[in-house]
Amino acid sequence: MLEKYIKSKRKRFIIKRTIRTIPVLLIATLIAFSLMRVGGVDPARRILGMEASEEMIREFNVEHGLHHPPHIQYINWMTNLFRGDLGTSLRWGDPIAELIAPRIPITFQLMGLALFISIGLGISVGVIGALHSNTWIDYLTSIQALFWRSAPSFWVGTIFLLIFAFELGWFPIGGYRNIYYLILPATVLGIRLQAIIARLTRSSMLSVLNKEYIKSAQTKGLKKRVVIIKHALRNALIPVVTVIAMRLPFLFGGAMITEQIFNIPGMGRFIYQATISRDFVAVQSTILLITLIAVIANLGADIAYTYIDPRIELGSAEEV
Amino acid sequence: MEMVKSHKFLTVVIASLLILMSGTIIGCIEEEEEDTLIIAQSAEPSVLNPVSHVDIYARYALMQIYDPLIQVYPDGEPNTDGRAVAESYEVSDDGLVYTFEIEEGLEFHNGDELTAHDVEFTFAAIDGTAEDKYDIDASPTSAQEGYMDHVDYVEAVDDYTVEVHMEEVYAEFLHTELMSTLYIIPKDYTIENGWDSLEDELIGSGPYEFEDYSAGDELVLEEFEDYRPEIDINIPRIVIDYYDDISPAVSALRAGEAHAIPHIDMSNYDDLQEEEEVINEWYEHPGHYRISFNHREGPFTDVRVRKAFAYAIDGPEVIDALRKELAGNTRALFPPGHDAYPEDGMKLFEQDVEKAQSLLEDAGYPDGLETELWVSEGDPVTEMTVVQEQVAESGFDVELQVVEWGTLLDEAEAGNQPMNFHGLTGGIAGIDVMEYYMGESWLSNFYDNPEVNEVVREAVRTVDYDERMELYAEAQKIAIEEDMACYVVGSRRQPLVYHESVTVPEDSLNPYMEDGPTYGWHLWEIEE
Repeated sequence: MLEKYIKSKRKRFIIKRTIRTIPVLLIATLIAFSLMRVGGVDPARRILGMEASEEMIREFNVEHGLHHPPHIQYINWMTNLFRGDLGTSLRWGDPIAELIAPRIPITFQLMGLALFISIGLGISVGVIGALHSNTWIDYLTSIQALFWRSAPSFWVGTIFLLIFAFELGWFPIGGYRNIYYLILPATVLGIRLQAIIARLTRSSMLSVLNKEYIKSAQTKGLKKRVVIIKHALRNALIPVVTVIAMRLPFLFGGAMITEQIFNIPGMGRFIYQATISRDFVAVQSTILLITLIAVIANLGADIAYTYIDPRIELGSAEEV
Repeated sequence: MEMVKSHKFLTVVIASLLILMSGTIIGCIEEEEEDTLIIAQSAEPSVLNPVSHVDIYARYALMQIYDPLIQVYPDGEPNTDGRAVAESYEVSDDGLVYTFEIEEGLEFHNGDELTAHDVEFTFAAIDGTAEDKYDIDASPTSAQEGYMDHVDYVEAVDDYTVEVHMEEVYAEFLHTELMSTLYIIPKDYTIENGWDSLEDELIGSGPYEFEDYSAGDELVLEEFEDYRPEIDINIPRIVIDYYDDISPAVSALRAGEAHAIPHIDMSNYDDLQEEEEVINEWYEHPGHYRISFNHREGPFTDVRVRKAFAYAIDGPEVIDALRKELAGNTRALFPPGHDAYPEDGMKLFEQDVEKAQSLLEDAGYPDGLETELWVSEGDPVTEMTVVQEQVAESGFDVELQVVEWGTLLDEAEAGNQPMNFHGLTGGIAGIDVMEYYMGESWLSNFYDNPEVNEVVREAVRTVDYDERMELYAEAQKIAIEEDMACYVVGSRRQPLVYHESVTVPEDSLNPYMEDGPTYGWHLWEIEE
């Protein structure tokens, strides 16, 4: 039906993929809403504590609509969401949008720095491995990549904390005052992605280095550095960049854990705090927001890939 | 053509990634402030509001921003020394009128003078009558509102004199949690800006002004430069860092990135004893740790079963297992040395397996008793595991139900626990401890003895302090020695751990109110 009104295959693909995100988001709202209510723990008592009187508990529940049946609470929440209102935190009493707003840049800073470290390190290691293919240098780069891909992030974080913060004192234990506080956490966060980038860069470089036009450039007498950087690496990076974009949602998930280990006041720690406080509203709204970001990121990656290799996607994507 | 398109795409994606990465540069680079006392706190206040606060974590902060009306100590009469807003007070002979003379010239952080009218307004906020007396909406509900049930009315007689008229003699009035947490709020500012301003701006008259609060992260306080000149402020800035768990707070202290932890569990307190850079101290605290028996239903409604359980426990061994010097061996509700502790001591119910078995058999359990003991996660599990092993010898097969603190409270309220274990901060007034043993309450696990109730009520009507303390001692003897209302594992002592770079004056460890040395943070010193 869309073909009638929209001629462009790519545009039809984009519209269809966008529409498919709606049920994903709806399911996410149901899961987020239901999960926090399993167990029937009373958030009012949990949040206000032992000294709160029964009247304070009652007032709290009425103020936050918790005296309604669950299905009414869900409808009220969804109604507010459509109005752009993420709700009010049970724990802190402030609009969730206001609580999240200062945390988003911190998480993005952490992710950004992690990307910077992982890309710089990963590409460098990958190129070195490719240029020294099948030597001990290559084996070393492969081993490190395998190691960091396998190591659990909480273990890496703890070890790095012990060595670089506690023992050597090079970095703060945790918290966030300025960008320096994010270097160690960003390294922890980015080290697994670095390993993926390194392996992919190595493979991609090896593939490009064997191409005729590279050999032709070499025989023409161009400097090796120019051949590697200007010709080989530039083309080898195309699939690498695509993979990086597709790994962004995973980086977001990793940031959640890293923030907790290093006590960084970002989105991840906020969700953790809201969860242990039984702050239903904050958890469900934030999970939904993160799901939305992940869905958009994935959609962006899919769309980006259609530009990379139109032969594969648009034909099959019509049936997806 | 494909190559050109791919390169264009590559350019776009790399540019996008660079924009994302450039967020790393946007982060403001803040200078580390010198002379900042950094406090690592393992939990955040539930409500940071001088009227509706409900936990000790809020009071750590509020105590810096607000000055109290009088200074209340666990023992003895309150005084008007130091930071007290009142320069004197007196109680009428019949115990029905309390008169406070407010010190002249005190200022709030916004420059308004603090007068008796602000004190009157604060009382009205606590008891929920502010909307009747002033042009303002209903105040947020205060956890201390119940104490105002004894008050007839409060009146600012003139700008510097306020009278509190009681409906009946309530001798403990000055010792209650109400008075120890009465944070004087500015009347005019609050009426003009509404009750929300209490949380948004936190205008007090204390040594520190509210600077910034990042929910879930930190609270920043700055020295109030127009504070009373006779009181030293050695620390220009305080930052309270909120952690989600005690472990990162301890890590921060070890690394010198925090100066003190005001609330620490025993496991970490023990571990920190090994750290050269950390100083461990403790101070007496009006509270205790206890096993509460369910007096409403189940096997522990029988006093023989309760006493059997008491004789089955080796109290000192339980203390040695974890708290060591941070708990005193006692069965009383008030610690030894407290004025309400019986002069002739309390029966300690030393372990006697034969007696325990005999009592259990008399109560109809010759083959022993299977039961449950509910505890929260953390330190209590360590202690109650020791109890579990001890009482097995006497015939008690105890299953530990380890739950989260919130669940423990919920289930206690519902009366679903044969026993539970928890530490209790008894406030500082006799009534604040004894009310846990009067009437139907989940806090007392439904213990209700009319004789105890009568003695406590008489105490509350007794104006003479020494006589009142004697009556509390008498009530404890009935409740514990006769009834074994609950098994007090030990009296509570509060740990304080701080970094060696900080100097903590001896007199700041005096337990003002119930929150100890946090009241004296302004007197601490940081070494360069």
